[in-house]
Amino acid sequence: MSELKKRFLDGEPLDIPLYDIHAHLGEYNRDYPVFYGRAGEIANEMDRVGIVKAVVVPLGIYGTEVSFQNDKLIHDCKTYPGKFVGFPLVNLNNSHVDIEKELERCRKAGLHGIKLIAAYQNSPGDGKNVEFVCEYADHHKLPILNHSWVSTDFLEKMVKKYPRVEYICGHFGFAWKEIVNAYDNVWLCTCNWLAAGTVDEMVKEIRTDRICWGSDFSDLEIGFTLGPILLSDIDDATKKKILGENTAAFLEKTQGGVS
Amino acid sequence: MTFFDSNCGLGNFSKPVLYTDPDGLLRLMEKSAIAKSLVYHSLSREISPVEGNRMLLDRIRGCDSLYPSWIILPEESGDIADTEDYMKRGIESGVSAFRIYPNTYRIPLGHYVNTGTFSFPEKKRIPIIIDPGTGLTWNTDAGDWENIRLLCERHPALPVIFSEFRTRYQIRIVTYFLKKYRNFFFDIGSCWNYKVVEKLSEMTDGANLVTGTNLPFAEPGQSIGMILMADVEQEIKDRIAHLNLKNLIDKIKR
Repeated sequence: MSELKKRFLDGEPLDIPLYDIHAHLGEYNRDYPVFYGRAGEIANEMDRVGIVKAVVVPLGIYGTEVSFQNDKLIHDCKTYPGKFVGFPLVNLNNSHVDIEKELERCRKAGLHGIKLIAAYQNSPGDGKNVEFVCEYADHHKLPILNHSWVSTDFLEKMVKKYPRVEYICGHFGFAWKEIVNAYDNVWLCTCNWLAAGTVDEMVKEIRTDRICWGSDFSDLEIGFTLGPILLSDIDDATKKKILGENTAAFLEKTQGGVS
Repeated sequence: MTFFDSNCGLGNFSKPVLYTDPDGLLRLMEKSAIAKSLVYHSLSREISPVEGNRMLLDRIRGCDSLYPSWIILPEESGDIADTEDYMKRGIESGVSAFRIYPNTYRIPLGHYVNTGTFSFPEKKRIPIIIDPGTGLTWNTDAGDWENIRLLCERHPALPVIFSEFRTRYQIRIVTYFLKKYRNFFFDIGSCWNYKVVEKLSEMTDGANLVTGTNLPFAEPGQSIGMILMADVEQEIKDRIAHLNLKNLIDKIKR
């Protein structure tokens, strides 16, 4: 049995550095009460589980009071430096002027990335505003964590047109495999509800240096997304890449270092 | 640490799945630290409880770690001549829970309650598992809470386990039910919300929580990971992982 799987099942510390490519901060959400959701409590939970650093975006992703959501994120990132890498949220229903103004404000506040989630904002995920954000990100060499790129055609179009962006597919799906396999600047987050057998299949079909564990805290239980990887039959070296090394490399590439 | 899975199917479903027979399930259970499973049959789940329930007993005969659960329909449904007698025979055959899928068979839970379907199970203290999912799509937050309330109040000695594909918004209702009704149990595998295991454990001391994996559809590591990684005492983890379900089954008056 894999050493990591054994430690997991025995309830022992994993004893490897975990890096999380998809997480949320914000304490309140429409969809559910966020238990123990203050940034300090989450930082403690990260220490307990062994998460060194997490890419974090606002939890209130609907676009309402987007500046307020981003301000909370900026505050939390500054309060816990080195722990959180903040990506500000874009309200894709806003005008290009307002989107750019908000992104500029957040960039100058030290956030180096962008979060998109069109579906939750009732906005087209392959619309002009998404492309506008990609153009902005390309200009400033910012990574984008997108809930969904809608289609492989659209994602590939963005990748070709705006090649200086690092693209993250925010939720796992085999639909993204060809793009991930073909381009160095496309990263695939593991977070999603996974059908039985998915993890073993995932590493057979997708390049393992671009698969990155995302917990989706404080939306999802951390164990919910960690469990399938740790319990799978894949070897420990690959597990370590997925659970930490790949996202560490992503952060090195996009944030100029992981420490 | 081992698990007693409260939500596990076998057989050929309308969608292809990882295993169909008990041997395949047992291999997966071993790999996933699941010592026992409370299983239902695909035929019962998707087409015909009467045929599927019978097939389940045939298929798992001799598999000590697989506990049968039957899907039932209400009194006078036309499928089963005498529901009480049918359930009685099931319990005598080792059935360890009954399951209700109101949205698969399109019979409101209230109709089961009002036709007295649960009087006999209450007398026998056999758990009733209520799952509002249709099994065909992602179903979230589909609990018929007014009728679950009616059920819990009308049959206070009946263990009622609520399980669904995903409880997200309605965890705000589940927390109330766990506080209010001692006979209400929740399959923690239904809710993936951040820190839900810790919060519900804090509220209940882990007493009214069970673990379901939703095999053969879901990666079992999802539910199992939530328990294993939770920041709660080992004693509470053991309750949620296997002891609570075992205790419920041990208390059935056979």
